[in-house]
Amino acid sequence: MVIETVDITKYYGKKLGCRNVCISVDKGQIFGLLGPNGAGKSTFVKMLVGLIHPTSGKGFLLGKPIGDINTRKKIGYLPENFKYQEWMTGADLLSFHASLYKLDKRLSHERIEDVLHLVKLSGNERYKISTYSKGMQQRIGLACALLPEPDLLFLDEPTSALDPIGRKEVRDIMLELRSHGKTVLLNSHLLSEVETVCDSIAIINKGEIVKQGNTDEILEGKLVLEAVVEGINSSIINSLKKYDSELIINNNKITLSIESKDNVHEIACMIVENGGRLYGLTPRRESLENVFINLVEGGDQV
Amino acid sequence: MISIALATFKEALRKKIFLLVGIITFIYLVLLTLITYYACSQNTASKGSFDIYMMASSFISILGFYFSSMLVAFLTIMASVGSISSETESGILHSIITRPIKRRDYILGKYLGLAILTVLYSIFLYAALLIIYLVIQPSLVHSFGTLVLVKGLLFFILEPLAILALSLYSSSSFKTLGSGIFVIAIYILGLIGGIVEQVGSAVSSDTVYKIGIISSLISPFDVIYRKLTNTFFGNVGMTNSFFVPGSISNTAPSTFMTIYVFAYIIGLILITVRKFKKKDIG
Ligand SMILES: Nc1ncnc2c1ncn2[C@@H]1O[C@H](COP(=O)(O)OP(=O)(O)OP(=O)(O)O)[C@@H](O)[C@H]1O
Ligand SMILES: [Mg+2]
Repeated sequence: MVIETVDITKYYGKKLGCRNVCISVDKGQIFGLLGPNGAGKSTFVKMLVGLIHPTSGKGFLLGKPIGDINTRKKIGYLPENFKYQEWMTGADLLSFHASLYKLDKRLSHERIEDVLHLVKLSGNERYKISTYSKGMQQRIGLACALLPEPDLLFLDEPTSALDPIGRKEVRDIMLELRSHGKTVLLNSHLLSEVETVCDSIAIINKGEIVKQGNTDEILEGKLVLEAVVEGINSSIINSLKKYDSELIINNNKITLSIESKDNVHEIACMIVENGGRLYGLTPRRESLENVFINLVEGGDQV
Repeated sequence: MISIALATFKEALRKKIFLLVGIITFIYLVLLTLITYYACSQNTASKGSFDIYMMASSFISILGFYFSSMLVAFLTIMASVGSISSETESGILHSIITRPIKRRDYILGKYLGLAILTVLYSIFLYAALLIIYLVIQPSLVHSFGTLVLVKGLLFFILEPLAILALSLYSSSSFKTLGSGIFVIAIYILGLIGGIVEQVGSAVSSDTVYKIGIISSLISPFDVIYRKLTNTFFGNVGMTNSFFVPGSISNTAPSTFMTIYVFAYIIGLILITVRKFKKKDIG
């Protein structure tokens, strides 16, 4: 396991940051941490990278307890409030971080070139950070985090300031890292982003993990079936209610959730046998957005 | 540690702090030269009694050291009160402190970088002061041996180093504004404490004297300064002019105080490191 936490908990005084979070992430995975504002995502990451101290519980990174200085040579972190010394130029900032990572001089020159290229800032390194746009600052921050070719990368909302192309580029960087066996922990609100890149996901709400698993498992738990039917009658509705008692009917469109793809054929037969004329039948995976909203709002009602 | 020290050093260069400080220092030195020169020519005119001449000219040169050490103190405080707090507040610290660097080394690096800056500046100012005094000769400075001058320099450097320790403690504990207020308040406490201590000993009031001592323990900066003037003028015979701001007096600080100052610096740095280790940054 590259990341492993055991009941890690943080209280800011009496205020809950996050509670009893147990997460394990395998090598070579992109792990997505989702949650509404104030759920405790950043709190969790800040504990792992050593900015704040857990109230209780334990955590291990690359097999070593959190806070181990040597393992940090292989860890990159992009904070959510990225901010850098404005008086430095991009090149100054990168060589400063290279020296913090204790990269040797020759290697650091190469790496600086590489990461600048990777975040598409080549040529801008001679300007001061104070002249950078918000998105450029986030890019240079990502570049800093990528300097040591990290085995483990923490990205706290890495695309919050980026344009759509930048977001795609960051996604590609993550996929590229994964293909080299690196591990990424991604905090994000952008569900589509998480859905497309993450191998596994944990959803956190009010400081506690409410769901965790492979992206496919989480999304394939439920399927949504849309049927376009003419001549909807009560016997059709009654028999469909056996699958989903809360089905929605809108004109001639019926939307219901089903357990598996095997149900699709049965439902088609049922509609036809009960005298309906079937014009369309589309099963689709429930979107992460729905899963997310259901979980978070469901949590609110408790 | 070295990376942090270097960055701190570079920051001062890049932010053109040197330029600003240079201008302030230049104006200060010109003023000081004029005052010294003027005061000296007055003295030569009324050169009746050697004693009075010596008193007055020593007084002038003490004032010079007094204002110079204040200038150094002021610049040290300006340069350091925000050095950690501003990085904490802005979030710059988030990406620094999560790199493979111990929190201890961050604090020590800051101290080292700022210490080199202030020490270089102090040496420069001290040298400038001596040159002015050697040229104009308001006092017996030219007759001091090298040993005394070096000893004086050491005390001149010690003061900003002690202030720096307090300032970094403050900067790692409070927000920038609070940090500044805290350090300046303590610095002033020391100035007042020094006077209180001398008044106390002059009127032989034990309580007043003790209050003075206690404030000097909290804020030993004035003590260092008095140690400095004592090195220079302690044997000249001006022993009871305590109304001169920060003048030497019959309460010349003991050697114990010198040792105490070193303990003060090291102790404060240790406390700062310990506190900073436990601190949540986020
Ligand atoms: N320094 C702090 N002091 C007190 N409470 C804090 C502090 N930082 C965070 N919290 C609280 O901890 C909880 C979790 O905050 P956290 O920043 O981890 O949320 P998040 O999931 O990252 O939210 P967002 O999506 O807005 O970034 C919040 O309720 C917040 O109020
Ligand atoms: Mg956050």
